[in-house]
Amino acid sequence: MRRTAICIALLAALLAGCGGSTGEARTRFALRVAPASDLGAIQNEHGFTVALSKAVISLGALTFYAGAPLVTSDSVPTAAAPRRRAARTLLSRVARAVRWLWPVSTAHAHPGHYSEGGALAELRVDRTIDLLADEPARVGEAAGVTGDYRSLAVDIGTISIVGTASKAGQQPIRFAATLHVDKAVLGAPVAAGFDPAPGGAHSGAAELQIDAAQWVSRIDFARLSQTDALQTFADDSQAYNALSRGAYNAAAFTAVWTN
Amino acid sequence: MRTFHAVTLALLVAATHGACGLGAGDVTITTFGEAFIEQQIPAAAPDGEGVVDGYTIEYTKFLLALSRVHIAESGGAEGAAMSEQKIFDLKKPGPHDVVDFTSVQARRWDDIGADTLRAHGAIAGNASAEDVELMNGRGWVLYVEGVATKGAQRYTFRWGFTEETRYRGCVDADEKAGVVVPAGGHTTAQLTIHGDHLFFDDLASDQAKLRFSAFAAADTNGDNEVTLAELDAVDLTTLPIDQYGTGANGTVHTLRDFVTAQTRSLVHFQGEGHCNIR
Repeated sequence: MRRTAICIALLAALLAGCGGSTGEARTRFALRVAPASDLGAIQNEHGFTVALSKAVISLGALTFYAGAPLVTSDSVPTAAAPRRRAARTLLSRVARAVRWLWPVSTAHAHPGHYSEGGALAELRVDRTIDLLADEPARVGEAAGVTGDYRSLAVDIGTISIVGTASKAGQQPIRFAATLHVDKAVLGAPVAAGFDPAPGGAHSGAAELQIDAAQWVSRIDFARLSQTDALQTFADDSQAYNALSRGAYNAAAFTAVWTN
Repeated sequence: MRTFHAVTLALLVAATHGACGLGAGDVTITTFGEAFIEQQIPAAAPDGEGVVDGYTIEYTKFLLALSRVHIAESGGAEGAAMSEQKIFDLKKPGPHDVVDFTSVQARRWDDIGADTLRAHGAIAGNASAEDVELMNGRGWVLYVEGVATKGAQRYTFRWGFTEETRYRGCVDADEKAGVVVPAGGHTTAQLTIHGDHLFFDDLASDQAKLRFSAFAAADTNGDNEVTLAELDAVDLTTLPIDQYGTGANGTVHTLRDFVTAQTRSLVHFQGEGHCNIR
């Protein structure tokens, strides 16, 4: 009798009995990459109008995390986020059991910068996506656990662009560039409402939106040779640097839930 | 009788876990600049921690305006909050008491946080009256002065920042949220200020390194003082590609933008713990 009472009491205590919450469950969801829009007349920061006739990206692994994205000051976590964090803490033992059954790679806190929090789902894409395609590219099914999806890491292999940059009164500049990124872009945002159901019992799908306009937004095309020959970007050029920074910019990637 | 003891034990365990309040206790919130602010950020030794391009950085003043230091239940009741705004000079040896909360319900308060807001009517935490007047007069959130040296090179800086941040839901290095107030007892919790972050060369990567060379090179007028105006003239696309990455913060274009963005990652919890940033 006593042993039973102690066991019940300890269980109640360990579950921190003042508040109720839900745990994490296994889930799966389809993911597609949306075609980019408005790549025909990008207004960049140096006054050029850029038209991209090619915009492709090779993607490796996508990993979803519970940690908030690294954001600008006008972005605010949802009001419910602290409560969800508490729920995760209180039921971490349950979550660990689920993770043991359905392992997802562990994330570690960074020294004061972006902190991923727990990894929730992963998908290996391993293919090249044409962002000027007419239809979304279906890239596979992510597997993981339910939870508070807030940020995303995107492994990028290569980015390749071809286009023309124009400015009033100047000769249009034709350019082509290939960038071997081979690194993960960290802390991309996951839009509110990204909520896969337990067991994959949902009607929607995840969509990765890639804003390729940001790749060229900081290129000062005036620094390239002003000829009608096709321009490529030297490794030490401002154009290559700006393209690289655009490619590494996690704000160019957003995961949304679509129905 | 035995069942009675079991229930008593359960209540004690529950109280230890902060699930249900029993009685009241006291909490002191402190702040601490650690050795990187109080002493210096050393040049990195081989395979060691420090500034990788050989500079030693020493703050001579590190003024921070702390507001609305609080403990609360996440998404719910507030346990206690500091009503004043206080200015702290983290260069002075700490930890420094920020606020004492007395007779707070004994339980785990899982949302501890603070705001760093523009100084307005702030009072002294441990800062001098002159420094408090400086912060209030300029409306600064943070003001740092310091010197970076490398051999015969010597650069000074005096930077005031107005970027405001709200830190919420702080967790310690083991991801334990907030603080447990013991019944009839006293505990402390620390808002740890990471002064080295201003010189990290990436806003997101866990491979970020401490550097000063780009700041030194920004001193285009050659007076050996690096100003925010000079940092504003440095477009990040002119710096090495593998340095000064901005994560998802697409609005950071210059070195001034970058160091300003870093001011929003200064407040940590219980040493290496972290907080949600708003």
